[in-house]
Amino acid sequence: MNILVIEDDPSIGKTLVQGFTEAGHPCQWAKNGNDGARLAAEQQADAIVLDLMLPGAPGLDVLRGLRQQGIDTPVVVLTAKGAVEDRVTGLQNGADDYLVKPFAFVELLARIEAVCRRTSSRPLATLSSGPLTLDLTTRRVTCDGREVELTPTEFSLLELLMRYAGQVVTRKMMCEHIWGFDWDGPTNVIEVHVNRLRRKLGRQRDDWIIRTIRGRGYSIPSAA
Amino acid sequence: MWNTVVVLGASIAALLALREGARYTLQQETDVLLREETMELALAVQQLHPDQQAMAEEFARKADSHAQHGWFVELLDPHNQTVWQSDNTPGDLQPPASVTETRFSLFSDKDYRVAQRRLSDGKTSGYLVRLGTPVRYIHRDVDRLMRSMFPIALALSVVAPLGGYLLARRATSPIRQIIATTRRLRPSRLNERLPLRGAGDELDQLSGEINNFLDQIAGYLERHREFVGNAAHELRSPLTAIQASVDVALNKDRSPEDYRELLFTLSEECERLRVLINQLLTLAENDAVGLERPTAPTPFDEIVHKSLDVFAALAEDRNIALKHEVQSPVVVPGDGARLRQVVNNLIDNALKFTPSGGRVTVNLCCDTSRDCAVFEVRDDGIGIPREELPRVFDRFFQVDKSHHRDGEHGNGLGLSIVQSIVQLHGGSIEVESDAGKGATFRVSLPLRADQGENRT
Repeated sequence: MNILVIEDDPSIGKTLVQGFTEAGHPCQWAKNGNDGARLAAEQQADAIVLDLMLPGAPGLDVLRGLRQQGIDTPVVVLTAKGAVEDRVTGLQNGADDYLVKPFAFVELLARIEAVCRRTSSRPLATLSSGPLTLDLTTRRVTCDGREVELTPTEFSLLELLMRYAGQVVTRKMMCEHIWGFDWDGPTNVIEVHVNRLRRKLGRQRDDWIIRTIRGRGYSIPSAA
Repeated sequence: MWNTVVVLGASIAALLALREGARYTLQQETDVLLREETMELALAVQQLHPDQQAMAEEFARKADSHAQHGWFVELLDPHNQTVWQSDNTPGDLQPPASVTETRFSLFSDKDYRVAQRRLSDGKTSGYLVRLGTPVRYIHRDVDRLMRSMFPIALALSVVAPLGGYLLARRATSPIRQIIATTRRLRPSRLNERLPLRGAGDELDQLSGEINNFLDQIAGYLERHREFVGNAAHELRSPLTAIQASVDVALNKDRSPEDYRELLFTLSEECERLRVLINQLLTLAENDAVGLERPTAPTPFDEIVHKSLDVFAALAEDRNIALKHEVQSPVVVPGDGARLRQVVNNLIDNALKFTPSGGRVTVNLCCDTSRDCAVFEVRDDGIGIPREELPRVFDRFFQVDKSHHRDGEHGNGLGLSIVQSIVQLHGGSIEVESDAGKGATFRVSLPLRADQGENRT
């Protein structure tokens, strides 16, 4: 997957390029809006990471320009402002997803892969990964062929993990998924639910389907 | 200066009006008197006729009694021939309007005011009694009055503006004081207050209101200063930890495992920083002057149920009974995401400070008498010492850090955020607690967008 990064901050840009390259995605880096718009038009990137605060042309202008030229490459917008209006404006102007700085790189990677998948395939009625199957319409979950009863919160967390199967899902992503925004209290509610999920999925401690990725979050393996 | 002119003009106008008024009143008085006396004379003529001598005496007496006003009396027979007249009767007086005129009538020519009555019955029928006074006497009286009034009016025109000016100066002196004090106030020097004169009048009330306002601003600035100081401290801690770990790590070559360990630590510190910054921004956003009170109809009961669903697992794991009684539906005007933070923070807080085997009770109901939704979270945990209660909503205030379980972080901003959100919604929050006696947090939110307290 080819990724175009349009970002003026040198250290963020450098880290993103390194991150994407090491994750196996060839990456190009434009340091201002004009270069970004030119590269996006010339080269067919599979996904674009676009910072909204850019010298030259502001991010939103670049985004509008791309969409007007008929370039529908998935775009994930980076913004330092978390205000709802900014997110809405970004999405209205043709962004596929947004991420508020500071963010975890794994989350950016997960979101880029998700928007690429979303734009390339129809929404799924069932999610499956290895021994797990999750039916989104009947809300039935089976693991190793055995049906598992889940609470709404557990179901919702498992759905998120399976959508991002093979990738790391951070605690912040899980909080946003449950509450609709990034609320993270002092007590570790997420950990409690993940542990319950693990026990319900019926594997032993060293064989848990949901793995803890230390310092980053949780992950379940993608269907091999 | 033009004040004096105005007062002078007004005085002259008043004098003129007074003169006309006095003239009119005097004339009326004279008329009444003339009329009464004429009736009396008419009666006397009837009674004394035909004693000419007695009649003449009576007439002379009447004329004399008002000599200083130049009264004159005249008796005419039915043929308008003079029977008797006082010496001062003017010769050019109009003859009676009609011989048959019997009614009392009053006429005035340009010099005299005259009352006359023609008698109607008895032997004296047809006789005419006339009583008159020259108009100049009325004018003389009025002029006398005016002469005495003029110096008074003149004095008044001088004294009134001067007195008015002094009075106004006296009345506005507190205002000038207010202006002077207000001018001295600076954002950096808000300790001065306007003096109250103890008169309890509008100016004292105004001063009081301005003082209240100053108190609020001073309080706000003080809290703001404290907040910035605390925020700087709280932001420095994780940053210091990050810097120190990196510096130490770079001191010498280490194994990849050591580096990995360091990176995990850094990642955790970064997360702490991220959460802290988000919370500080939330507070700053809620406090922002001009932020509109959110009014979208929000199903509060659903928010509470959702939170209860999520926290039930945590309570169960910790062996805490999470009881609830939630009225449905409870819809409040507000912002769903913010109200969710209120509910989450309060439940989370209660679970944090409640030991295993304890109980947390969550209630939501509508108080129709106060027209508000009441959300209450009660725990039987360690409680808050009475003397620390007033500070629980202060930013960065934490009761006792030793009670934190492993892995739990708290920065003392949760309750401040709750309070700021509640106030943004025009509601109120109160806490009841004492050490060892658990704590109850009670949030009241208005059910209508147009009621409730406005933010201060």
